[in-house]
Amino acid sequence: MKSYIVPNLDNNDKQMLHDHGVVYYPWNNSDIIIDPTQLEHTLRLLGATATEQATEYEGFFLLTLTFTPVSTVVTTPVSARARNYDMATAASRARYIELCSARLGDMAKQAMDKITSRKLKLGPAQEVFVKNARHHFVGSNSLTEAALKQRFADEYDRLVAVDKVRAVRVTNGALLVYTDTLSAANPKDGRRHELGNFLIIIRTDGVDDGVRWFNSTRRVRTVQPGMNAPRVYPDGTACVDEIKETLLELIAQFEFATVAELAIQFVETVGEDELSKFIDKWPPAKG
Amino acid sequence: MTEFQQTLMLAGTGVFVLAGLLAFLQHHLYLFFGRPTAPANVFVRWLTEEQKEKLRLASIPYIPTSAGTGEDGISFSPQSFARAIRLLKAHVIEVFPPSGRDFEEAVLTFSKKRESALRGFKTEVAGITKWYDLPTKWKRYRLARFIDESLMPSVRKDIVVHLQHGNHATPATDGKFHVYLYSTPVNQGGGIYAPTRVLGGQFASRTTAFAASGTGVPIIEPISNFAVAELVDNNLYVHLDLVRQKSLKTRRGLLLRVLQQVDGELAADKFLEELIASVKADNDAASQGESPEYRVEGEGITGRRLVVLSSLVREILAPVVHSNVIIRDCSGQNATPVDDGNFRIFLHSSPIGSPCMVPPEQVWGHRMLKRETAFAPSANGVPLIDDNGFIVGEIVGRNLYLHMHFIHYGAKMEAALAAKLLLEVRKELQGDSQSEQDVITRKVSDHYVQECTRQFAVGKAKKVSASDLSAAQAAFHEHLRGALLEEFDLLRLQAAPAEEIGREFDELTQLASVRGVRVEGNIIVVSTDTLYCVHPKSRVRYEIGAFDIQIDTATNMIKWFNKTRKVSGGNGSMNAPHVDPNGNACMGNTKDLFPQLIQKREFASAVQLAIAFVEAVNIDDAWGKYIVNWPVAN
Repeated sequence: MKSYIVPNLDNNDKQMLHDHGVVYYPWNNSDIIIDPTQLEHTLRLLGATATEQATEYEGFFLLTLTFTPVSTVVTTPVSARARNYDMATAASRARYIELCSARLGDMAKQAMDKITSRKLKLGPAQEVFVKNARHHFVGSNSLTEAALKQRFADEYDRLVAVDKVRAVRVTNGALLVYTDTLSAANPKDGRRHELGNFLIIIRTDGVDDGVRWFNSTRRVRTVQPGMNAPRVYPDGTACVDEIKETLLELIAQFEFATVAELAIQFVETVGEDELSKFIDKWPPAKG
Repeated sequence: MTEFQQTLMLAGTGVFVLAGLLAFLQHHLYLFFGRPTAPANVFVRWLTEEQKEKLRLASIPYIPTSAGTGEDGISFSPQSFARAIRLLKAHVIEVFPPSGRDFEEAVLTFSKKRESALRGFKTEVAGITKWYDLPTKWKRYRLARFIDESLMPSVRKDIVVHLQHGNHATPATDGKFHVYLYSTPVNQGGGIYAPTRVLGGQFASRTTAFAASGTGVPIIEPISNFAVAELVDNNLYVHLDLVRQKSLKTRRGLLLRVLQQVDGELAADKFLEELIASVKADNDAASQGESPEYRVEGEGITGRRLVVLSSLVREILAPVVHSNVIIRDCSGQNATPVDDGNFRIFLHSSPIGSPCMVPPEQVWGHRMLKRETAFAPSANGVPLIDDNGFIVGEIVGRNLYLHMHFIHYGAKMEAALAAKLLLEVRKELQGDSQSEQDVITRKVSDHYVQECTRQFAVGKAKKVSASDLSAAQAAFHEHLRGALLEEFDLLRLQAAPAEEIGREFDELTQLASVRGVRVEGNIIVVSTDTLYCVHPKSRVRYEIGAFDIQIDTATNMIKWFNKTRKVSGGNGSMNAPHVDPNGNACMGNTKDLFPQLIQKREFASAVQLAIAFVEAVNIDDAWGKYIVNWPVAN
């Protein structure tokens, strides 16, 4: 009998599968093994489709999961047009999907290699930029020490007054901004989804990406397990966006209230991009 | 001696000198000028952030490179390496050959001025040599100097080096520091086999070495978990055979690496001593009268790790948490916060999520012996952040979550890091004890101003002109744009689920002039209605015919087959004015476009373009001028 290895699950996923009666065996820290009777149920619960690949272990097949937004998973729709196809075209449609899926893996790997090597260059360039921006700002500032301190004190007052900022703490090299519940509207149907409360970490020196977002209410699996928001990865970094440049410039100029405001706006803005379409995986907002 | 003999001798000496010079050049100078053929990149590990920053500022290019799991470093081209070692004032001690990798590894040491306070101490090799054996004396002197430079700044006492050559030696207690090379404190009745790769250097298989005796602190090589040395009070036992018995030929690169590990351990020892003393003084000042003794217990953690951690927790944390402390090793599992009056420390855990953060090489300036994927903070508490922004842990109520283990072996280097970490926790917890809300607000506000003022002062360190800033911004912007497009590509691929691909197929069938789509193996066949082409000058409309357009997803190629007719002109029986009898098109400057579209899975665009291609003609082209041979449309 076949056994399937379901890869890259986090503890929440495993707990959820367990709670829904899926019987599985641990394969390693992040992978589990299920038998064919559990496959369909597991994929439905995870909101994923899968392709299988034989492993070096006889009878064990590694699944490659593709995650889909909630609406498509729950209803598993087949478009009206697909239902009207004759058998030959329907088979062609299925083969087309298969063909593209098979190519997607390789292409995704190539794309991943490309972005990884790009980020190796982006990181240092980002750091040089933010440091230079800070040096330049400080060098061109002629405020007296007292005036400077007053300016920082005023900026702090503005920061705590930013809408949806619940609390602010200062720690070594970073500002911790705790927010109220943030939500975002799905541009497709205008419905609001509750993202949760956030901790936004703003580095006062701008290094390490400058700003990170962590959701304290819930983390959701979309393109990766444990996403903090539609466009925020599990490690708290945002997807690549031109807002980064603006945020870093503002950090360099000690405009932390505006940084917090923009950071909140960034999370609450959902566009038409590939990450944003997973907004419906977050629960509908109350009220 | 005849004149001929003298000439012969002179020539022989000349050949010798020349050969020696050539050997020297071959051996050493390639590090400065690069190899004449097939230059290998040079890998360097353990550079500090400060040194990397120097390289960046000097525009010396390097690439972050890994020599294996947990063996991160950077690599240079030979030319950049030559510039780097000059800039960093480094000396190449040894070069490890590539051994199947695409780089050589250089072991570096850096020039440091000897502190005047250390001048009174000396390092010597124990034992005597015959008065006339000058070469041996010289080698022993060089070995002593080498060890002196590596260890003296942290040992700060006389050092005696013992060449034990595999014999055990009892630890000495004479106030000096003793280094026993290839030895152990107890008779182990034979050794063990050393791993084939230790600290980046290769060993022949079945090379004998010693295991840790258990009487002291093992100096662990984190990749293989092999104890390269052992510190028993003021005695260091090196377990590897790194100095040959007669010739005293030394594997300097490896010996240096072992001594660097020991140096870290000794420095950590000093740091810990001072730290505990200051914490104790702080505790004594804070406690009025007798303070109760709190218990520190371990769950899933035992041995030296528990001893080290619990002693630090007892000194640093217990006095401020005012309760018993329970340390639990969660090994990558989540743990729910507990509020039962005890203070809990969860190792390698978080209340939610999975390990997903790549840790840096150093935390608070302490190099980590072993690294693992770290947790992200749950955001339910106060994160603890090191100087470089890495989030090492989080305090959630009376629970401290450490996002990594930090203590794997109980080494002093790890203990120093743990102590620093616990000190930060202590600071946070002490800050929390203020209960008045307005006091807290005022404190945060003050702290904010202090932090900004500090960063402002740091910003004064360097003057940056507007043009330098523009250049940096342009470079950043260029990479950001590139990353944006590349991430978009990746996400499109990751996020494209099956049903979306199905919808794409549906769209394909709905395109204008498309009659049907079928997929056979790796080939997508798009059948079209009859296609027409208008002569650009005469405006006469010609009927080309109905087509099967074949898109081969394996080769990213496209072909056109006319199902209605083929017409002679250009290159035999043509499928279309610009499509030859085999279905291949003469596409001119658009020849790269189709493979790109097919590779990007933009089949709908490819089909639209393929139809447009048949419906257009270039009459100045050798093939296109035969458009007039096609039937005029009704």
